[in-house]
Amino acid sequence: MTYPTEADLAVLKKLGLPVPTETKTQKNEEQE
Amino acid sequence: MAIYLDNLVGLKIATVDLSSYVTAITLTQTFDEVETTVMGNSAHNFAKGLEASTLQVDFLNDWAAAKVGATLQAAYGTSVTAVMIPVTGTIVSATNPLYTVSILVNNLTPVGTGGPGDYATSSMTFTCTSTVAYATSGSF
Repeated sequence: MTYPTEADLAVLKKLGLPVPTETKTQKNEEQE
Repeated sequence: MAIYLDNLVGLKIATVDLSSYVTAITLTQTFDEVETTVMGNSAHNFAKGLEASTLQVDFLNDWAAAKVGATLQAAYGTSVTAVMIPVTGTIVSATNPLYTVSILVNNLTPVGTGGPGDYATSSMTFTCTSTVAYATSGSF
């Protein structure tokens, strides 16, 4: 999944924290 | 790394690192069991349904800016990203995987729980609104 999402960014804006310009993607891997 | 002391679990909610306020955390991965029993079966049959995981976190409350109270209040009523790692400060790997999931912040205990002799704590269970992404690479 890719984040921060729009909801994450909204939280950061409410908190007055810097908003990251890059997103991260966690590729789901098969669990053994 | 094999077994480890459970005192370095990392938690970020909406990318805000709240690890230092977490006293207990449980991510329960589960999925619905959909009954597929048909004529001729002599036992109930089930198939995997939708994922229905939950994240339970106990926090020490802190109402300072961008800490537990403010972050959860800002996220209240929305689905935000939660990222967890078993051992913070250690590289993400097969023995220290990263778990990422969207949680619906649908409950808060904003004034906390406790009495005159206690630190204010909040214990909340969030419903996951995505599958839990399991990754052995990346960063916390």
